[in-house]
Formats: sequence, structure tokens, C-alpha cells
Amino acid sequence: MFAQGCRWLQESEFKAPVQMEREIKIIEDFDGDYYGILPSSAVAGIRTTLILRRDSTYTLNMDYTDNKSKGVSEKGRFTLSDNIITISYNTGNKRYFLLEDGKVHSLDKNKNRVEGIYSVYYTLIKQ
Amino acid sequence: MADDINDLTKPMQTECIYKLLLAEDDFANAEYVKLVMRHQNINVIHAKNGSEALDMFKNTPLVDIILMDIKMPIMDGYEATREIRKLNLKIPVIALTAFALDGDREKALNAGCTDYLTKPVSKDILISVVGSYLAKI
Repeated sequence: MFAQGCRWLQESEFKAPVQMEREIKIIEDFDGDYYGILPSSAVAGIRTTLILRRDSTYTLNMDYTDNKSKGVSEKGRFTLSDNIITISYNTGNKRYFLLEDGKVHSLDKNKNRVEGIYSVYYTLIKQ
Repeated sequence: MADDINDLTKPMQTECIYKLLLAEDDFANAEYVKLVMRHQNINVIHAKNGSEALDMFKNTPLVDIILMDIKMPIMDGYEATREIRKLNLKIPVIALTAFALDGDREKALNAGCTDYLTKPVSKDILISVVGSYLAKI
């Protein structure tokens, strides 16, 4: 519904895909499913699963624990450098996670750990 | 990977990106909203309180719509909306709050909000309401 009136880009206008191979610092066993329930002021929490694969693709699922609101998923490619996972969205936004000992921690837009009273819970555990 | 999910890191086929200012101090809710909006090719800029939202609104060109949490530190959503309305009377401001008490809706509308949604807001309702206002732009 939001695409009305938009100009479609020519193929030559597409940005070249990021070359990730050179940036990836291989960490043993980083691939897998990471799960946690992020605390939310709206409900008990948001079930979050981040699946990381060795081919630098990921799937992220989030759904409210109230089971009334539909979940939402996305997939794409990430880069891994200095244990920081970077997802660069086509809207221009980025999202960061810190990989650490079978866990991933959510980072804010400045690559800092998320602050706040619930910050300790913003961690997904490898399953 | 599942084929029914769009790859949101691939270049888009269109340059039509709307800009949404999200004022939300709750990290998890903010990430959920961002995820939903990314599927709609909407670029979300995120403020963690009303004061930051006001600054972002002043300093960010071409914001199309605002999702405004109400209970936030430093400056709440009511005050932030009142300040934004001093600058712009037209931009849609949708209140987004965990409060569902009687009178909250009227209080949000009186502050200048255009509409009101209660958290946890369903993905479909969020897309529908945001889309309805963007379609009018």
C-alpha cells in the first residue's frame, strides 16, 4: 500500500551488495538458534529468536507472549567483525548484536549494550 | 531460508521510503515496531524519550509520521506532542501506549495526537493505521 507513486529504480541504480567475506572474523560455533524473551512494558515480553548461519544469513522472529498479536519475521545477511554482528537494512538503518560465549547481546545504535533496568534480559541464549 | 519472508538487507526495488519517528523508551517494543515497519519500506528513526523525539523532529527533514509512546522519561508523550504541534499542525502523531484507562484516548487527542493505539498493538492494526495516514500524504 505504501508503494503508490514511487519511482522504480533502474538496475544500474541498485547499490552493490556489501562484500562480507573479507569482514567476517570466523568464530567457532557462532551459527545456531539464539532465543530469549525480551521484557516489554506492553506485555510479559517479546519472544525473540535469532538464527545465525555460517553463510552470513540470518532469520529474526519476534512475537508478543500474549499470543494475540501476530509475530513478525525478517531474514537477510549480516556481517561479523570483532564479535559484533551488523545487519544493514535497505532502509538505511542498522542493527547490532554482540556475540559472546553462546549468547548474543542486543546493542544500541552506538554499539553499546542496551541500558535500563531490564538490560540484563536483552540477551539471547544459544539453544 | 524461508521463502515467504522478504530479505530486508537486499536493495529495494523502489526508492520510496517513508520516514517514521518512533518515540519509545522500551527497547523491545521499539525493536518490534521497527521490524514491522521495515517490511513496509519505512525508515524508522528512534528516540528514547519525548525530549529526544522533539529534537529529532526539529533536526530531521521530511518526517512523515510519528508514533508517540506516552509514558517516557524526561519528557512524556503528551508534552512532546504539544511541543511538536507548535511546530507542525499537519503531521500525523499516533499515540502508542500500554495504558488503556478511560480518558487516555481523550488526553492524547487533546495533546494533539491524531490517533491512539494501545500496546501490545497487533502487527496488522499497526500497518493498517500507519498506512492509512501515509496514504493521505
